[in-house]
Amino acid sequence: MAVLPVIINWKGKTNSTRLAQGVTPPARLEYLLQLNDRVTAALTAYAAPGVCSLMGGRYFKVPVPPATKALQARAVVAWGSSAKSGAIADAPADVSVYADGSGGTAADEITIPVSNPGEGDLAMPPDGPWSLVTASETWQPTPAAAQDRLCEYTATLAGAGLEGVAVDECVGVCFRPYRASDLSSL
Amino acid sequence: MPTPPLPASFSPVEITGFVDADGDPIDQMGRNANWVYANHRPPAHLSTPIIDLVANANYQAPIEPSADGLVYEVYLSRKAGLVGATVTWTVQYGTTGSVQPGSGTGWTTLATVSGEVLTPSQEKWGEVATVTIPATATHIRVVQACSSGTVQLQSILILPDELSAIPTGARPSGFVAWINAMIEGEGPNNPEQLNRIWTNINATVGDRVQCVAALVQSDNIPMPIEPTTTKPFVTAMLAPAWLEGQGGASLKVRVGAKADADGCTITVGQQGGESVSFDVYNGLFYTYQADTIDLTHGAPVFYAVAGGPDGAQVDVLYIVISWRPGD
Repeated sequence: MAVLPVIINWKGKTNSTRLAQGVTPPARLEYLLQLNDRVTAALTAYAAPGVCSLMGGRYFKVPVPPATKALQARAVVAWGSSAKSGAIADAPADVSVYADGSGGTAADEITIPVSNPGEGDLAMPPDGPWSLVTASETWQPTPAAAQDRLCEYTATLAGAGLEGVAVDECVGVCFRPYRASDLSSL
Repeated sequence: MPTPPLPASFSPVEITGFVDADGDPIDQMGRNANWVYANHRPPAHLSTPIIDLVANANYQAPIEPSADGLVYEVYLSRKAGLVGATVTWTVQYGTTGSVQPGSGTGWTTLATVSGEVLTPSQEKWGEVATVTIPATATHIRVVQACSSGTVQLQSILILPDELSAIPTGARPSGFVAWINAMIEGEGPNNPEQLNRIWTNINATVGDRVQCVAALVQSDNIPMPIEPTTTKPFVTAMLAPAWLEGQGGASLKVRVGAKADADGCTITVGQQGGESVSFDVYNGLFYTYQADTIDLTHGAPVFYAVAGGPDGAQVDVLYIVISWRPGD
């Protein structure tokens, strides 16, 4: 990103506040605004990584970015009819994700129903049928989390467990952070 | 040299029509940039290994650590078998990117946590080690060695540790600490003050490569993927992710795998977008390959499929997709 040299000539200690009163701020303030936006944008410069699981009951933690006020879970489920080994679930089961730090409570549970297998079928790769399921509005508020908070992420497949499923059946899950528009509430 | 300030928190800056030369908002922005350097902690690696309860396992994955030699935290989620376990964890790094499993060489130990006792079926998660990963590292390795019982490693998370102080001087990443003395006194502001804030943010965020999707397996017992005539492609990985506003960004894809037949491939891509294919047949040896894909939009679903002739077997050590902000 290009950085333009800008010289701000305001001098301090001259009670010069009055100089800015009643006048249009100079255009160079736009640079300051852009600069401030760039600094602030660093708070949200986080990707929400996805993970893939072939077995149920996985625990892991991901850092919650600053200004995160809520989390939304999103899952994709793939299953096929041509098993390679092990016991195969006849249909994918709901995915439950917990977004707290104590092992998962009902209050923090995000359940992603896999009740509409036809929704969002993926046309790729040549390994279908796949189903893409997202939790549209099923997000849960989390504490006003600032930096240095790890979100526990417990993915549980209800119903038929995934242990022993064929390798072509898997579930991917990730969280999407909702950010606060008012950073002063950090 | 004055000690660079490290504010306790990020303080929003309000810019009005008047700009004070020796105070806010410029100083606060500079301090905020220092805070970001100390607290920007995206996952350098995050995966849920495909593994059952086993006594010994070795997980390796590519990593692009900070050029600044930062300290990283290593989190492991583990579950003991029915009789409990006593396990030693070792964290290592490699610099060649082509270490064959079982060779026993090419790895440098960063930390060893000996004799952790897990009760029957105990599930435990948390930080097990903090390690300084050198900038030259290309791979990270977690070794599980049980002297009794078995353990299932359920997830691996590696991320930069937060800093309690800002280092002085220029860092290899390009970050140069903001110090208040730059704007004290009666002199005018100068481009260096402003440019430093801008470049510090870019250096900090761009230096910390983020893992956006990963699959790892133990190198001594990878789950074989076996294409057939009726199903020549088998799903190996499926993972949604969010990279808000990053459509068009270039992501790095790295694959460590081997196959026992010519014509075996691993294809990694995003639903409705670009994909790359890797020829993974290299005789008896693993191949370590990398390529890039351009992100179509900010809510991708990444996939990986293994393909090959009937009767072939593909063993995957890792499939990792990473993002360097700015690419």
